[in-house]
Amino acid sequence: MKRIINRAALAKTTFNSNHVGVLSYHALQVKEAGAYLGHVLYKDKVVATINIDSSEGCGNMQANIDFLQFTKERIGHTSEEIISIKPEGYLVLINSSGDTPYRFQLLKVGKKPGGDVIADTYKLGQGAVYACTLLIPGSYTLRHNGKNTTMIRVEYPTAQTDRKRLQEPVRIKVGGKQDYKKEISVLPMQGLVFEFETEGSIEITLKEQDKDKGLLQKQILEAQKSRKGTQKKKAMTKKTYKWRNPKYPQSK
Amino acid sequence: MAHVNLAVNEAAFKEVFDVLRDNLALSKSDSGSWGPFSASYSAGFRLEGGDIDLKNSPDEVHIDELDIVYDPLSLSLGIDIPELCTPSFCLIWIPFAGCVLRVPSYCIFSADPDISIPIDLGGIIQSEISGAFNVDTRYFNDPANAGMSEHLAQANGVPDKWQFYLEPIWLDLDLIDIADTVGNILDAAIDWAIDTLLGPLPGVIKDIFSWFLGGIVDVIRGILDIGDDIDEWLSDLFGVSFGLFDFVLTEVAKYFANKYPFFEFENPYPIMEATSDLIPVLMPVANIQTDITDTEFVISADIG
Repeated sequence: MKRIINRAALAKTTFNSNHVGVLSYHALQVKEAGAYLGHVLYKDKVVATINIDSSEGCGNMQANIDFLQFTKERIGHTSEEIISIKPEGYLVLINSSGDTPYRFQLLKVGKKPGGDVIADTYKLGQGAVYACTLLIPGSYTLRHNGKNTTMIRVEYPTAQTDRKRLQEPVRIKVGGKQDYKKEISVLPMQGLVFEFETEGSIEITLKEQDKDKGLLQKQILEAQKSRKGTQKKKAMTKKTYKWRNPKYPQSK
Repeated sequence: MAHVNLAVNEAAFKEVFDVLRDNLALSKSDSGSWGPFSASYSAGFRLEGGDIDLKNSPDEVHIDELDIVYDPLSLSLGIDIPELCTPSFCLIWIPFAGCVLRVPSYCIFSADPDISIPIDLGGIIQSEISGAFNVDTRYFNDPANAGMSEHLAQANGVPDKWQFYLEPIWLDLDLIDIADTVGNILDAAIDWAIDTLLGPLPGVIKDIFSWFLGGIVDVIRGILDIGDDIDEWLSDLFGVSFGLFDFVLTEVAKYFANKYPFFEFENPYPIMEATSDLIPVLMPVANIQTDITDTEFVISADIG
């Protein structure tokens, strides 16, 4: 058996909107038609470039860019693929496997050589959307532009915890005059969507992890106990399998 | 009127039958797939015990309580466990338009191929065969003696023979019992499989994974379709899904009907052995008749 384990996801305890990392998502809007470039930066150096085209004829409202593709072999190359998106559409940046702290800049190709930077993960502007899913149960701090704002509590799920809550993310507006709640409660892998009202960045850090409650092992033992309790040892319904020789049609 | 009658009582007939029974050893393996659940097994079986009852009118040999010993009986269950993937949720929702932007889902834990649960069921299943047999008389013309005289054939150990087979009229296989321990065996196997699947993960992640699936033990038992009655599940798996018991019956029928005669003698029959000076005296045997009474099996024949 081959197991595929996303170790970066299982180990993630810090989320920073500056970077495109595992379990997080950036939505950057391409407002006008035109030619764009997407620069992928690592330690302030451009390591990859993506061509983006926005035109009225394109029907895509959303284009996903997975940073998993920026393997060592592809570093330094410009992608030959052109991502098409309609004006007012969104680029959704994800990193499905690794947690290399990539920065992303979106530039509009125009008169200025190299293009104009119109979006940058280092400073998400008004209207930008950043989302993440916290996996490890415990208490996290949420900081906006370096200041503590609220606590995020990731609950430790039990058998009674309703999984339907995962379908609805928790939405938080950041920036401007916000009246943050003292604590926000979410389930593991429940979406947290941050809507930026002013330019800035956020950081979420695990402060205290919940202890392992061993619920799976308890569940296994309870299931075994329950089975032994409900399975009455009754006389087994006798089953008979028959074979008849066709040479003797009158056999019973 | 026959010249010769040879009678074998029930006890002696049983001894002959026991030798025949003990020579049967068969094996079978098979596999199948039912959606997210697959299974394969490997079984060897032999026969033990059994009571013989000779019946007169109609002339039949009845066998009861012939135990089938399944040794080994290995079952392997394969299960396709759902993956642990991040949920897809709405990033941007606009009133009257609905969700205009949705995050893609990707998986953070999966196993490929299915997890495999090996289970040793040797000695677990108890079943018996009962049946009725006719005595079938056949003449075996040994091709190895083609062109030889009868004396030469006898000297070379390849004479023709009269043979008597037990030809099954009907056979029933009764599934008597499945040992109580099968529940514990299955529990331990599922426990082991979960541990193997999730072993490398931290305890907290195991708990989350199990919760996310809705309880991994329940998921596994649901995929296997094991209800409260494990006996019923196991007997259906082997009996219906794999057809193991029908296979056993067919093989036992073929074995007794064709594999070995329960009794045979040479034709012509050496009524006097050879000496240093003389060849053996061989007497042809013809017009074989058999009869079964409540106490004996009788062979009648003409000689000369």
